[in-house]
Amino acid sequence: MDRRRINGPAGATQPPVFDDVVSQGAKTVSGRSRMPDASRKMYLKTGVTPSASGSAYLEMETSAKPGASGLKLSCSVHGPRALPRSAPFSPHIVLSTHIKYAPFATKQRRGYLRDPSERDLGIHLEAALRGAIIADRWPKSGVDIIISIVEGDQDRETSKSQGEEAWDMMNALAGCITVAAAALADAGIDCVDTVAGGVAALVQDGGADSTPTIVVDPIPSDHAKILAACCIAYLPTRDEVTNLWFRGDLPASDMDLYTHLVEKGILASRNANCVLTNCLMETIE
Amino acid sequence: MTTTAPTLAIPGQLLGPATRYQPGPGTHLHEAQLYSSLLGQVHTTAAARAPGPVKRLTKITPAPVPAELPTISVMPSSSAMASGGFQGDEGEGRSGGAKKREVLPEVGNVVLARVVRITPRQAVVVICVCGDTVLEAEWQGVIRVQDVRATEKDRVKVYESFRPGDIVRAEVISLGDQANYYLSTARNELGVVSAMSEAGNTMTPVSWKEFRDPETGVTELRKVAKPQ
Amino acid sequence: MTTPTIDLPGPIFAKLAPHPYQLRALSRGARTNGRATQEPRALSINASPLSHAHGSALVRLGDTTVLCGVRGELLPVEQIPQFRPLGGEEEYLEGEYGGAGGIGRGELRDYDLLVPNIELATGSAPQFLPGVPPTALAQTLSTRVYSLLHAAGLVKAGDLRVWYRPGEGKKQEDGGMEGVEQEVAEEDRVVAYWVLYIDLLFLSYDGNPFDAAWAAVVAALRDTKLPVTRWDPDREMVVCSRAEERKLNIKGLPVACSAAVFMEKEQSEAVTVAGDGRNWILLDPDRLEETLCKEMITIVVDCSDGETRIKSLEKQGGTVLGRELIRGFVGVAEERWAEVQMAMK
Repeated sequence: MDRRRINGPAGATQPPVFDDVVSQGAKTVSGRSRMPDASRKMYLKTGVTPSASGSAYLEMETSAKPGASGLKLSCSVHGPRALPRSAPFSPHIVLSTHIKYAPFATKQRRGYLRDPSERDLGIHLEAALRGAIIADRWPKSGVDIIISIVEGDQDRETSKSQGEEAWDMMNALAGCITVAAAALADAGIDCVDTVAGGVAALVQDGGADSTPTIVVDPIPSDHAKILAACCIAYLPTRDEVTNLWFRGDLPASDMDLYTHLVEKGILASRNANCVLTNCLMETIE
Repeated sequence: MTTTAPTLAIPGQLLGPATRYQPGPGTHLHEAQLYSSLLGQVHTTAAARAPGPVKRLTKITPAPVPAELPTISVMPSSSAMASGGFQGDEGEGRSGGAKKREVLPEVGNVVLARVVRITPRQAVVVICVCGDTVLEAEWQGVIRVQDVRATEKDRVKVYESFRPGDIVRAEVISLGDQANYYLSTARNELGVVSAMSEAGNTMTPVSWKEFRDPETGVTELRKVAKPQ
Repeated sequence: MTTPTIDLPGPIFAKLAPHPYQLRALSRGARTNGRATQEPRALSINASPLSHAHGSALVRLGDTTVLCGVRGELLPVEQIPQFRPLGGEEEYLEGEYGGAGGIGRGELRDYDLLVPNIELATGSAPQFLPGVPPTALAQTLSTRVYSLLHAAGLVKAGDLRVWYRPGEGKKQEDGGMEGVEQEVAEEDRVVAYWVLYIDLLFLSYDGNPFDAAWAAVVAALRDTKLPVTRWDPDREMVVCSRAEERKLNIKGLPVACSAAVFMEKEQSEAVTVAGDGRNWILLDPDRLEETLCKEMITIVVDCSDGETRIKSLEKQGGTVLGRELIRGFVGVAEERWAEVQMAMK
């Protein structure tokens, strides 16, 4: 019980249960309408939080399916600023990342305290950005990168029933990396490159015996089954991967498949990088 | 590779080979090429380096190049107008206009700082302005008793030099410890530039060691900065 | 005059001596942000920006941006410790004398059906970083919204009741099964309540959070549509229709209007005598102005019935705002009401 917030009734409340819940158990696959290598449209804008040192807002195209929304992310960067007095000396900038789903971001209401999956996302984001920032330009300083997931990717309820949260988290992370890169550039924090995030997945669209294919920027509801996916943070000019997050089940014998998946992940992140580059160029032109 | 440097750059953008330019602020060196590390305008300045710490000097491993090379740097543009969020709807412009990028105080910089508390050994200050740049962050500094004056150092008393709330002009002498920059006022033009009296009035300097409250006529001791 | 003894360029003056800087600007007739003293920032309201909430609104007040999502969850009456069943008669009464002072108010408050929370720690401003418990400001704002929600009577308890009406279904299903008639005829009863979680997320903070937050709450509630419900006696639970939804009946349009009092003398402790020194009333203060002012006033008015009703009046600190000034401020609030009403459309 959190006394600093308004908690509502003492008794437990339940999210609405719908009358068609039975029929919903069977997954309806809408099918993918994009080419395997095409990412969804992305909207990116910097400077949305004027009181922050830097900020950016990212929105993924809302898919045509009603009820399923695209990702909406708001990122603010505070710093470089003085480290707390209790902090030890640091010759470089200390990065702290924070990702939080808004209470209304998903089908089920989220609490105000970060859960383990949100902490996980924050750690992946930190790793992805650490490889891009020139940390020793800012001794004795800290920078806070805060992302609010205003609206999550996908229909969270479907995901839960399918155990597909991990795939949604990957899409969210990819967006977080890209929006953070934009906000860092807006804040004027030195980076070696513009880092962007991308996801590729190995999907099986027709039955258990069909041949799996690799697609970029997957939407779980588009596919009958996702076998594996990876989220890549990639620096295009350096040709360097700063963070790789793989999840799924691939036979160890088939290294080619794994390499392919990573390559497509890089392609997805290149797609995102185009949007990022255009957005940044627009702000200075 | 004979193309000229771009006029605008985003982080990671190639600016030119290290054989042609020296790296300046906002750039970095990677495999004998210079790249931008910031979003902004590209500037090249001729060989003779501008004197004085105009902006933060970036510590870059100096490239083994002759000194005659022009310096290339990337300056963040005064941020574009903000208009926030949610696609397709009109936002309000950023009030206050141009936003300056944060800089770090460096050794040799002259800063303006506000005194927050004093002890017999030192005055603790918050650095507000570095050179001509207003800082967003609050960097803490200390003026130790031995750094207040250049002469008669052993007779300096901190409480006769500064009071909380004073605005002090000082020079950065060391990056200091984990929390503090070390500052000095041991020059004529350094010291308190603005002070309030105990009665709450802004005082005027009357000598090298005194301010006077124009309303009450009472004088208070300070390490006064010689008006410029 | 309290000007520093050295000549400083504007931005440095503003940083080192914000109070004298503001004072100089006001003496010349405008605030440092360029606005006139009684000039609010532009307000824009976007309804339904969110797809997972039952109702939502995005409010932008200058550089203050707040997003509000309203979500209904069901509270079965068994979960309510001191539940008092409602008879059909009482339902009728509520319809008759509903709104202010009606029985509905009791249910909303007794069962705690409205749950507003404000989150500032989104990096919305440098002083609001995450990872710490809600700040005093965030807690105060949540409580103020909570009190005003109940005081203004925006939401009707009737909209939140979920009824079980055994009579309705039976008439059609079984025309004359004798066995059923033997059972004691069940009366209509409330089986559950909707609880409205009203979550407010500040995406950008530049002062005057209450006016922005309250406008977002009202706009989001006006946008809220709850699914139509029925009681499933076999499963003993409330089932919602995916196809049908019903809008909340939101009563009136209360608008919050805040201002801060800027005093000529910075150290108000030394100068507490009213009338000593000039002062200015700054409508819709921004982040900097809030830090320079000790006295704040918020007035909530509703002019939707044609006449102005004061729903709430709050004042903190200071001695400047007396009866006369507050009366004058009502006029300012009326003007603001008209602007907010336009933005709501």
